[in-house]
Formats: sequence, structure tokens, C-alpha cells
Amino acid sequence: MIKLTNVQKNYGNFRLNMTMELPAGKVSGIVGRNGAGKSTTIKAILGLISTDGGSAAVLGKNPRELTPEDKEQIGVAFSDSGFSTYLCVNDIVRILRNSYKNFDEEFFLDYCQKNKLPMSKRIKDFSTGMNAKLRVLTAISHRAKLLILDEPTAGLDVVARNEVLDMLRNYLAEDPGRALLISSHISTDLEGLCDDIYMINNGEIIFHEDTDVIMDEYAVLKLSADSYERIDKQYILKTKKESFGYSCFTNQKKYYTENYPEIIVEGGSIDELIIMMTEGGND
Amino acid sequence: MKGLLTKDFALFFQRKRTFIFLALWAVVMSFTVSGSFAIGWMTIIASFFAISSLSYDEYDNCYPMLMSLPIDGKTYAIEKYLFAFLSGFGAWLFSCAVNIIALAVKGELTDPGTDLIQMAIFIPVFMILIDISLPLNMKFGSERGRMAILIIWGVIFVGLFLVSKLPGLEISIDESLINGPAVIGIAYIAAIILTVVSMFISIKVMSNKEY
Repeated sequence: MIKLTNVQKNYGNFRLNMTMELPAGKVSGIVGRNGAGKSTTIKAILGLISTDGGSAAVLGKNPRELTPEDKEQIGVAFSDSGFSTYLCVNDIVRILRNSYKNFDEEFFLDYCQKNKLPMSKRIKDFSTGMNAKLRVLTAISHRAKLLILDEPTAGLDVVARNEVLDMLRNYLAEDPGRALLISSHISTDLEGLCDDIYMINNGEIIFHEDTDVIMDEYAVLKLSADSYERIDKQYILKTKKESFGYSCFTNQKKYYTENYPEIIVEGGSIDELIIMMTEGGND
Repeated sequence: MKGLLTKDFALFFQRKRTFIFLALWAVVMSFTVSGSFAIGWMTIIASFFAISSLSYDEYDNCYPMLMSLPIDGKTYAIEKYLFAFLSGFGAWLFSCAVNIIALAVKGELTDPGTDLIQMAIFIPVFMILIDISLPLNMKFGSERGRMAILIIWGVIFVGLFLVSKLPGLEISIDESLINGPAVIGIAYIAAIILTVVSMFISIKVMSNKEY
């Protein structure tokens, strides 16, 4: 569905160089700190910006050449862009009805009713949670094959986040061929949803791994200075100096738990991954 | 296209109170001010309202979302012209009807042919206004676009003023515009040509724009 090969984009000192692939039926997450290049990647995928090099294909086409028919197959939600906040949900229903051939109005209205989204209230008076739900609902209500969501849960509390994620899970469960690319800096969102994770930093992919592998095989070792000196470091990917000694990031959790039972091994999480991969050193 | 029109009309009707007030003002002017001033006033205000739909798209950073709908830059550009022309033409029709009623009530409805010609001049006027404003707004955004429009209109008026003062060319522009069907015909042709050129530029701007 999406294939980026060394896609480049330069903005002053910032340089994006992105390679990734999202096949049908798969859910991929992009994580990274603010300004890492997540939104730029999504804009390049959607053809909203031109690129300075490399090749990009979305639904088999150059994103800048996607036709309105191709865009019918894509559902999009941005964290910082949506319909004018002067509009109300009733207006949006009419807009979507007149924009998408496959707009499922019954589904849309049903969801609005169940989630108590006011139909006649201006969007600018919506809470952050209501706004986020509306954006995701807009993206999924025309039965798109490919969903691209940029920080769909940003600014939401735990309950609202779970509701949005449940909406996505249900949507994906309806058709195994649907694919989702989601960017977020909230790791738990991605851990429960994504098949694989791309980590981006300063415009570059610095890590790509299946989520199951991250959870099962990656770990952070919490070591005193003495322990750090004596352990085998061949499977240590990143090291970070701490007040208690060192945190070491490894992709061989089992090796360290079996050979060094006395050290503290914390299971891999995407939060740890972000911290260690961006702040950790190689010594 | 239909979706975008729905959006723009929904936003347009958000300001319906303002527009009703302006329409009432046009009615008052039609009965109190002689000539077709109210038609020009109403039509141009409606055109400006329509052009400002770009500001709504810009204000809430709507462009990335809108350009992810099943449309392209070309559709977006053409829709803006269609919306602006429909708005301007709607306002023209309304103010013409009011004007004719006012003339009939005042007993000033003399020659329908002359009255129609006087009213018809406002169509190319609002078309030219839209043709100049839309590509500038699309290219530079609402804020810088407004400055560019002011500069261009300033240049046009100063140019016309200077031309009218040239020896041997001392013509009354108002008189010739209002009274000359030939000049009105030329204005229509110029407006149509300008629309084609303007639309071509706007399509190019929107197709190459980054969001």
C-alpha cells in the first residue's frame, strides 16, 4: 500500500530521509520525538508536499499523482488539521456525503449518537476528545482500505484514547485487508495496535522492528558501575549513564536474564526504546 | 467539487445574519439612492464574502485535510471560482430584482433595455474582481494576498486615471461604461478572457502548492 525508498525532503537544516513499507493488512506505527519528521513523512505519503529525492508509491502511484478515485481508498486524520471549526457535525455529514461515493452515513450517525457527539454544535466548542473522535470517524466512515493517522490520540485522556483505539481496532477487524499507518508519541497506543514500529529521529529511521519482538526480546538492563564493567557487552545496543550507574538497551533479553540473574532487567517498551535510541550512546 | 461547494455554502450561511443585514441595507439603498449603486455594492460585497472562504480554509489549517479528500488542486481552484461566481451572481440577481421593484414603486422604470444594460455592467465587474483576487489569495495566502490585491487595484485605478487624462483621451469612463452597450460587451469579453487566464494560474498555484 505504501512504499518509500530513501524519500528525501529538505527544510532548512532539517533533512528527511525515509524508507519504509506498509503492505495490505498490516498496521505500522511511526514513533519519534516532536520535530523528528513524523508529520513530514505523512505529508509526503499523501502527496501534500513534493519530495527532493528517492521514490514514493502509495497504492502503486506517485503520491503527487493520486487521483480523486485513489483518494477514495484512503482515510486520513491529522492532529492539527480538520474541517473548519465554524462547521458543525451536520455540515460535515453533508460534506462527506457529497465527497465520498462510499460514505457510510448510517455508521457515521450511529457512532455520533453512541458517543454523544453534538450534531448542531460548532466544532470549535468541542472538547479535545470529541474533536479527536470526529477526526478519526471522518477518516474511517468511507470504508477506506488505507488509513493514515497522524497523532490521532494527542491530548486525550486515557478513557478517550481507549475509545479512539477501540474504534480503530473494530475498523481493522472488519476487513483483514485494511492497512493502517499511525504516528504517535504515546507508546502504549502503538504497543496494543501495531504489527511493527518505525522509529524516526532527525528525519532518519533509526530503528524498525516487529512490536512482538520489541516486547519479547528487547529490554533495558539497570546496572551499577561494577556490574556494567563485568557484563558481556556484545548485545548492548545503547548505553545511558544514570545516577545509579548505567541503563543498557539490549535485543537479547533472554541472554542477560539467564546469564546474569542478579541484574535488573526491565521488559522492552516503546517508551524505553525512544529514550534509549535517542539519548543512549554506543559505549 | 460538490463536497467543497457544500462546505463553502455551509460557511457562507454561518454569516447569514450579516448577509441579511447587508441585503436589507441594499433594499434601503435601492429606494433612497438613485441609480444602480445598490447593485454594485451588494454584488461586490458578496464576491468579497465568497473570496474570504479561502481565509476560512487557511485559518484552521484546513488545507492538509481538504487536500486529502477525493479532490486535487485543480478541483479546489475551479470550485472557488464556481462558488465566488455563484455568490456574486446570486447577489446580483437579488439586488437587480430589488432595484427593479424600487424603480417601479418610485415610477422611475422607464426603458427596461437601458435599465438592464446599467445592471449588466456589474457582472463583468465582479468577475474581474474575483479573477484578480483568487489567484493572489491562493498564491500568497489571505493576509499577504489582501496587500497584493490592494496594490494591484491601486495600480489599475491610477493607470485608468492617468490614461483618461491623456490629451485627446479625456473621456468620461463612468458615462461610457454605463451608457455604451459596446463597452459593456467588451467588458464581458475581457472578463471571460481574464477568468480563463486567472483560473489557469490558480490551478497551477494549487497544483504546485505544498500543505
